[in-house]
Amino acid sequence: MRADLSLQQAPPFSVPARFLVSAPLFGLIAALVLLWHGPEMVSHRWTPEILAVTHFLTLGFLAMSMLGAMMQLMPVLMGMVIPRAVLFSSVIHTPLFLGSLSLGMAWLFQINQLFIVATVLLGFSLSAFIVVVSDRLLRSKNRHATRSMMLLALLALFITASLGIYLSLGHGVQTFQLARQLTGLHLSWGLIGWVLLLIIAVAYQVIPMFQITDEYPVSHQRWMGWSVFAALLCLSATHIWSLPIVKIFASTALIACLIIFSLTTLWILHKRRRQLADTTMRFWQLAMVSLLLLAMVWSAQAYIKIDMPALLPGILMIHGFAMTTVNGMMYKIIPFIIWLHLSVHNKNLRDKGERESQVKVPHMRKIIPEAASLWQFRFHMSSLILLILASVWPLLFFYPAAIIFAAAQLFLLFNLSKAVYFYNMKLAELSSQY
Amino acid sequence: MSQELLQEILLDVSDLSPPEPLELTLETADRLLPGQYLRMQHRRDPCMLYGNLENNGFKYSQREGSTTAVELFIWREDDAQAADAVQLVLKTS
Repeated sequence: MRADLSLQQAPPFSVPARFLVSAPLFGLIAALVLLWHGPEMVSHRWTPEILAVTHFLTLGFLAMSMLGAMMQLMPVLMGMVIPRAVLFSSVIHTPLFLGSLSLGMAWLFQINQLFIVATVLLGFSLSAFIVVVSDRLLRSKNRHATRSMMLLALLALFITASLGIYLSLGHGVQTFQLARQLTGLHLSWGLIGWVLLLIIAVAYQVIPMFQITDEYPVSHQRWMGWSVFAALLCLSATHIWSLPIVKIFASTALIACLIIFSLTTLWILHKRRRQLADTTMRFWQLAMVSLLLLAMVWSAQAYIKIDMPALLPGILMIHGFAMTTVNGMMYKIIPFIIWLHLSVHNKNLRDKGERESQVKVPHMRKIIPEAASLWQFRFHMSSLILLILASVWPLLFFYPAAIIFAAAQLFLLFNLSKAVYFYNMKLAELSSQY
Repeated sequence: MSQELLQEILLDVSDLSPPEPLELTLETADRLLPGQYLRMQHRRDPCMLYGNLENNGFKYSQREGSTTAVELFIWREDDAQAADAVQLVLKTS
């Protein structure tokens, strides 16, 4: 007898792959919009072009990859199985893809009907995901902090999506009054609630696992999610009622959470057991430095009332923190699932007594070569620095930032597509043997 | 004591990154001789390993380790001698 791997917990390869490969497509679209419209679009935060780019990135890149990563990680990390995973992922992915595209186009071309289309598609996709995945998480016997934080993140996604649908209807339906005052709430629940909470939840598991570090402190894991969520609730109250002291308190609590999470992560990465630097670790480090910078910018705005470039916090949060983290994680998730699925296909051949037909499964680090991911990281980091500079001096740095950002997204798309192509080639090789 | 040492195969995978702990544990378990069990030490709970062990005809027992966070004892399900040896270790250490 030979001990072999089984795929009992992992979903089929196409489930996470379709989400992860779609993400850089939206990054690329966002970069092309930047190039098309030029530096005038950054005159203030709420130009339609900026809103289009923001939604291409937050929905098309971030939500797309985060939903796909959750479908892969939940079964593997927490032993939860999503029933009929291929069907479920199609039902979520297609409307999310088309809805994100529609919403961006609705902003760019100011087509009211497209807001309605986007509302229906995104509303369906996100609510179906939230209901099914929350149900699975609530039934799970796993009691790791990641589970409760994922549930909080999903609740934040529900609030974000509800506010987004309400705002979108204000654009799409003439008789519906546009509730602009909800924009700040929508943004806070989306970026701090959904994105930050989910990334922290996943970091608790994947940093110790893949970077070979110590676990996050128990008190950190116990309190961080609830603290962020409670502070966001308080901050939300200040959007409805005038509560200046509560606003300062909630902002201070959130800034403290950002600083504690980023410094703790940088510290445990610094003290990692194996001092091998891989590209994913560089992505984590860059993301944490961005989060620290965001905390500084936020502090300067909240306490000293310094005027900061309007787009700087958004660049640091969306590109610097969230996209950097997700980009780095892709370089672990895609090679891992390719390795796993090919190993299982080999097992099936061995079970049939066809050992000579097995394909060679490369080491995980070879599936996306370290040099390719490192160069993509350099492009990604350069685009972040240039975007930060462009937020201060748009005339000088806007076009270089947009070009390098497009290159970084194209490079990511190339690296991921090449890995998927490699998998499909190996699979075809194996299929011909069956 | 000497008999116990011969029965026990020690494998510390705490400094390895995925998928090496999974691969190495299955490979080592595969080489267990009659009467032998595997004591696998890891820094975290190897979630994916359990189902794979069951599927391949192994039994296991997990506990908190003295030097690592998790210690997993693995033996073939039809090996009563190895199962007894594991029970003895679990009771006495």
